[in-house]
Amino acid sequence: MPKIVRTRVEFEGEVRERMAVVVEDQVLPWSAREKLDIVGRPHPRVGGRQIVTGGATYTADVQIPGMLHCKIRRSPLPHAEVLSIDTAEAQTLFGVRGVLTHANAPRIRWFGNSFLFDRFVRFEGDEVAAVAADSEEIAEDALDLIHVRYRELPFVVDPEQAMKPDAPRVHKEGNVIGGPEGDVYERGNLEEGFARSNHVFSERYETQAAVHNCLEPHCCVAMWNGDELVLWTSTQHAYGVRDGVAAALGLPLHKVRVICEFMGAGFGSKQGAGKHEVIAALLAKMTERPVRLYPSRREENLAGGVRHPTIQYLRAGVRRDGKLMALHLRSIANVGAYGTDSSEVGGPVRELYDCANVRTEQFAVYTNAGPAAAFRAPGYVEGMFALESMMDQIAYSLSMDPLQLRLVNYARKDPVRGATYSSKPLDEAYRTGAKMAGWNLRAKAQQMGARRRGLGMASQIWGGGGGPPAYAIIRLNSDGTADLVTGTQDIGTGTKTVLVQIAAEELGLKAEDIRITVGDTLAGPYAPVSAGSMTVPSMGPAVRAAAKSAREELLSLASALMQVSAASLSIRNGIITSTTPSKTVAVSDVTRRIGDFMIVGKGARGPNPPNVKVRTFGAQFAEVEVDVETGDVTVTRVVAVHDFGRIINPLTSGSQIEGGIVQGIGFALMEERFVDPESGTSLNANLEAYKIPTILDIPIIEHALIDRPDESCNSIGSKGAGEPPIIPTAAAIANAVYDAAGVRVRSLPITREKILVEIGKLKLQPKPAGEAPGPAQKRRRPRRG
Amino acid sequence: MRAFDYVDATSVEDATTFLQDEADSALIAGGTELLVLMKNKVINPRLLINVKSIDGLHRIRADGEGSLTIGSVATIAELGSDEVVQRSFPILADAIRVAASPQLRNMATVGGNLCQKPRCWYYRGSFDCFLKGARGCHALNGQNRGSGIFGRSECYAVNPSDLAPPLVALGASVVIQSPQGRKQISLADFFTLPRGELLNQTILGRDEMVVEVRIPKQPHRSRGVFLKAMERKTWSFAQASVAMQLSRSDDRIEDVRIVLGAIAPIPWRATAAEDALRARALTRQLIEVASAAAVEGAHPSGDNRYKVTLVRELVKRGLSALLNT
Ligand SMILES: Cc1cc2nc3c(=O)[nH]c(=O)nc-3n(C[C@H](O)[C@H](O)[C@H](O)COP(=O)(O)OP(=O)(O)OC[C@H]3O[C@@H](n4cnc5c(N)ncnc54)[C@H](O)[C@@H]3O)c2cc1C
Repeated sequence: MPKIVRTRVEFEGEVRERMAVVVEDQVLPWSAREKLDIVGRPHPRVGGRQIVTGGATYTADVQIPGMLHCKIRRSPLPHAEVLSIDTAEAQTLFGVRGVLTHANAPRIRWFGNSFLFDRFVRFEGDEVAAVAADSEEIAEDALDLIHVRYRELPFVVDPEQAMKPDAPRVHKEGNVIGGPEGDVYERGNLEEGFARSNHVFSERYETQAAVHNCLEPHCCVAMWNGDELVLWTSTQHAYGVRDGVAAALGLPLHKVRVICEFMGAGFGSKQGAGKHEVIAALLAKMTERPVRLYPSRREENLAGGVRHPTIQYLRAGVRRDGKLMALHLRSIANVGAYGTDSSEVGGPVRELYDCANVRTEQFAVYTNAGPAAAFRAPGYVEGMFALESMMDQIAYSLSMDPLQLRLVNYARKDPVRGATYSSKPLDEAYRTGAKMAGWNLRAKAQQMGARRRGLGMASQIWGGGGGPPAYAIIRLNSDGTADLVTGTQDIGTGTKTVLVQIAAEELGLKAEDIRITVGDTLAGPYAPVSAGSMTVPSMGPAVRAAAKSAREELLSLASALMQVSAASLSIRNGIITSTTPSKTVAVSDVTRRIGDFMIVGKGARGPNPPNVKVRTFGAQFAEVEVDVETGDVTVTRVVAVHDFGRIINPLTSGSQIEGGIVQGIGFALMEERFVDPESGTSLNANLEAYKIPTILDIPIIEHALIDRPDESCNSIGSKGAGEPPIIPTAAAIANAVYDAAGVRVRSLPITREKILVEIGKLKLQPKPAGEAPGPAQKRRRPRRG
Repeated sequence: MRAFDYVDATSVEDATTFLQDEADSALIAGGTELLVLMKNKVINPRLLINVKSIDGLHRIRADGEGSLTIGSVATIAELGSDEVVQRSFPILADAIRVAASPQLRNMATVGGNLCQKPRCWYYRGSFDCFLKGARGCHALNGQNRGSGIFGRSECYAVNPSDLAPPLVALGASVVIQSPQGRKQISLADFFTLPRGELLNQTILGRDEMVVEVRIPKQPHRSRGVFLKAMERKTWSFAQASVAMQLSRSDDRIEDVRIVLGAIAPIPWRATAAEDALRARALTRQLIEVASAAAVEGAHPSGDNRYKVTLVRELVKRGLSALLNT
């Protein structure tokens, strides 16, 4: 029976207590010793063949007769008032079917107090008008025929400037979200902590705006069937888009259907309804034709979101023995024109180490730059860079092994609430990673002429526990195959694969006998957003519960047919076996005999365990080579050890680790959106000037998984794997650069320019004594063949 | 991109006549550069004249005596895999190996590479600047980590070609044709600082086209090096590059050309470094002197300061590699 519970759900670093209707989870967790046939084994990707052969239907592949193409006229200015828009000339262009501006679009609220088409534009790329035409080219030509008059307004793109009282206001309410005090967290007594410290360190860190660069942009196709809207879209949350678009258009929920069968990534930038979906729907209504909207890479990089650039002032007080006495972080996140303040930059400082006196002040500041959006572990990637760079600096100045310093400050309990962890094998990740990376054998600054080799490490903490509500349905067909239907989406991570594995395991069917449907709000029941590393830990238990219910119904019918008690029956590989008397029958025999009576299993994600903190942990070790004359940095190896609880599929979790590290290397060394301070416009909104790593920039990545079921967190014992792998990479690389070259770059990305500047400074000053860490000096690392 | 007409030229004469007749026209070879500029509406020609259709213009011919003639529509990939290039002009093959990407090299032509426009973000963006006929340079006080440190004119954008430095170092010349006739000039003279009325990095006139590039036979015991520094490991324009070609007799340096790439609006001859080397034996000390001389007179404007260090190191490395050959 469903019941209402209060449950704590952690999402992207923020814990929210919420009411949820759950069906009490009767499913006992698989124990660590349970022998599983399909879960935990490498299973090839469901739909993988379609993806690599071009057979998969992505949003861009949707072709509907009569379909029009939409292009958006965007503001060329960072801040202006739109005085007038003249669309007459555009309307007369042959092939133009509809033009939408603030003059004829419904006044739909967007981003708080502004509108879908607002009279004020607040960044270069803000939507001003939209055209639907017979082809993309015509639509594009029509954009040039729309005449817009602007009144230019003063703008601000630097977040520290934007915080000043006399700065141009991006929004009426002021530039600092939530007021000038920011978001403050405090425990203990900071001043006392610093007073009791032997050393106090104080540094400024900076992280850049990195673009998500999903292979597939924010694209959609909108079509009306009478008064019902069908929307194909690239999204991390089909249900979220349904609800958002329905609300924007004033439609009841049953009139909106959202479809996303295959998806080319979101990385956090596609968490709900976007303006583009509503614009396409409005134009489709206006023209009575299906409308496809596919932004260019330039538009995507201007308006599709970026990781919040941050400035962080971090102060740390330590005792002589390395014990952290006080941590004080003041962070400023640039949210751009419309971003949200969802970036928990202070997360790592608050919860990674056992430190009694902590204060974090987080500021989220509007500027006239392209909007920030959640990006794979928002806040934690940025915050971890500062904290773990600082820990490394502390270790070196105390002549301590950086890893030892982390163990000295190891938090046995959650330092924020004092709760126990459902599991915390971080120490094990440190040990395993150190062994794999040869940490204890490292020698400082191995030299090969100008090329210096170094090793650095950093830790990872993140949520990923998932939670309700999340639902799944399984139907058994008369031939013994099954349809698994959920409203979730596979954003490219392999969700379909792992859910099929879980269903097959619980049902006792072969994986190939189960078909999964995702990404269709009409087909599957509600599923949460695929973000916050929560898809597997939320959906997995729901699928398992549905499979269990179907299995029980199947066995009760089988027991009647076989004339044995249901309790003596089990299913493996599509065969039902009874122990006493010993009998077997194929599942397909049973389903055939019951004919078209359909067994339907329903499952729901149960509540989270009360009073324990569910977190994922890990550690990464990066080895780099720095050419101290040319400033070249080469990452030669990354070792990663993570804990995601039970691993459902080592192939898909391995992909997440590798992908996270690749993205982390880009963040560490090269990626950066540039906004020109003079004009407030973006200079490198393309993939030529904005650098992402190529295959030659990617080193050997060695990863290991703790792979131990977290039995208290949910019935499958798994935690999320999507975000953790990118969290420590940049920090580990920065620390390795220091180990190699003796320079600490506190601003990302670590470019040749910055390295050469720091090395230049180094040459001017005599080398300080006692900078090398203790145990490492004596032993040399053996050569690797 | 604006709508345009398109013709296949059948001969060089044909192509230059089209250029003369339609003022608002452009030659198109591989299109890897031109189409990008058109899509971004930096240029909007009404007529595109395809030169890849010209018979024989893609040919690469060795005369058997050590020199090579390269048709202007030969692709960079074809040039890089040419046996004579690999054997006799290895610095060119080395430069090609690290230029752009394999896909681009298969499309891009030698002529197009030498005529490509600077990669300056302001020029390629929606900014009016000197190269577009307006005044001033946004990079001067804006984002200028890619800007030049030598040959400052009214524009600070560097020449992006990876083929130009090795070709200049090899003493290549270029054959240019217009409806008025043909001429051959040294490739070094083909490039020029944009200034005054000239909004370009080459001297190529409106109705002129590059027909071929000629590389002369290199002196006996001539050796070279090409080095390129990038923002990532591949598929990236140079932050700085150096091409050097040097010949010795009795261990004394005779001929030497050191050409720096991506640090000036033209391939930049490091003449002071060459002077320091000429008629001397290559030693460690001399390398120090020459590499310091290579950056003498550099005037960085801000974020491009690192290029001074970088170029000096690249020259030092290049010369060091030649020390024992
Ligand atoms: C992503 C990217 C990365 C790149 N990286 C590099 C790199 O690392 N190193 C490098 O050197 N280059 C690089 N390039 C540039 C590339 O090499 C050039 O785009 C290419 O060489 C141009 O040749 P094309 O035949 O495609 O020229 P087109 O695009 O056809 O023409 C380019 C220009 O040359 C003119 N032109 C063409 N042929 C002639 C001729 N015969 N006579 C007179 N004018 C002519 C055209 O009118 C046009 O103005 C890169 C380009 C891209 C897009």
